[in-house]
Amino acid sequence: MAQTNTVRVTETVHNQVHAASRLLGESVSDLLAKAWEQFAQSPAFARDFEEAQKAFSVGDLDHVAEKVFAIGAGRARARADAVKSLRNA
Amino acid sequence: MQLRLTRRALDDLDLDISKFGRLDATAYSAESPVVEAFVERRSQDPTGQETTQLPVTNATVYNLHAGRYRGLTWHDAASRVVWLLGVGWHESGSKTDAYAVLKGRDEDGTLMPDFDDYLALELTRAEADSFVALVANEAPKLVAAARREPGSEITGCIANRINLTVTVETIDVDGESLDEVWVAFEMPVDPGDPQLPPYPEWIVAVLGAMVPVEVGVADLDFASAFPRPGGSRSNEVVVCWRSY
Repeated sequence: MAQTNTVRVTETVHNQVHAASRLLGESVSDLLAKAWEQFAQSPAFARDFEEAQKAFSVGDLDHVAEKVFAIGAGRARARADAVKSLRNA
Repeated sequence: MQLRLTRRALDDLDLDISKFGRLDATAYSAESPVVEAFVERRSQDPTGQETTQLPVTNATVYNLHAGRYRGLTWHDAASRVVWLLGVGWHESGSKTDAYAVLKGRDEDGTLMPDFDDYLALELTRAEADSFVALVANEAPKLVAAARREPGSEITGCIANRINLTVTVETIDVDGESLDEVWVAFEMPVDPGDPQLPPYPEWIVAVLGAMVPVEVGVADLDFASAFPRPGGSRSNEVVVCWRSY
């Protein structure tokens, strides 16, 4: 059943989602629903979840902690690279 | 929105990077009038009034005034951070004027936040160890408590930060009794030090500790409403799975 709720996002995300909505001819709510569905079914989510699940089941907490740390470090690298890409050639 | 100083800005103000580098500036605004001005102004508005055109980087940076000190700030909307990029002494026309020095850093590629600045927003390895140990201990206990009292809502808090509600409904499928486990994560997580990143790895870790290995990712249902009068609350992420 459809529900009406306010979703607050940054102006940049708002503009990008509306641009994508116009480009793809789909409503913003459909895009949001698809994005969530794709995330929950994404190979990355499935891989990380199953890895964590198996590691916890055998008590390998070190593996999960390493994974959590590595995801954060990967995000830091991606953000730093994005900032570098703002430099004019 | 976080207010952060880059390591370079901390160095400009002679503030200890190892002490303050991982903290939001609101935690140490009393250490410097510049940090105090940064917190006071950018907590009200992540941008500013007056911009400086950077010679190399295509980003809008705003001037910050604090007495004779000048700094540059950047609203990094993608990371939900306002950065204080650097600080110097203002002396118009001088080669050592704050704006001249900070523009020079932009040309050298040392003005904007770098990998280590962004890494300071994430959990350290030691914090990740501590977080995972708490999750491993607390998450299964909540599910076990809900299984002992089917139909009851069991509320709890994992790692002192993640508030959630668990309930178990016993259902009959083709003559077999199954437990339908429902977890509602309250968003956002509670603030505290260290901050949990507002990203999915913590939810993946908690689910990994709760969901038995025989339940695959395809068996997780993220779309259904929590089984209580009124359903899911607007600030909840709800996950459900079935297991024997």
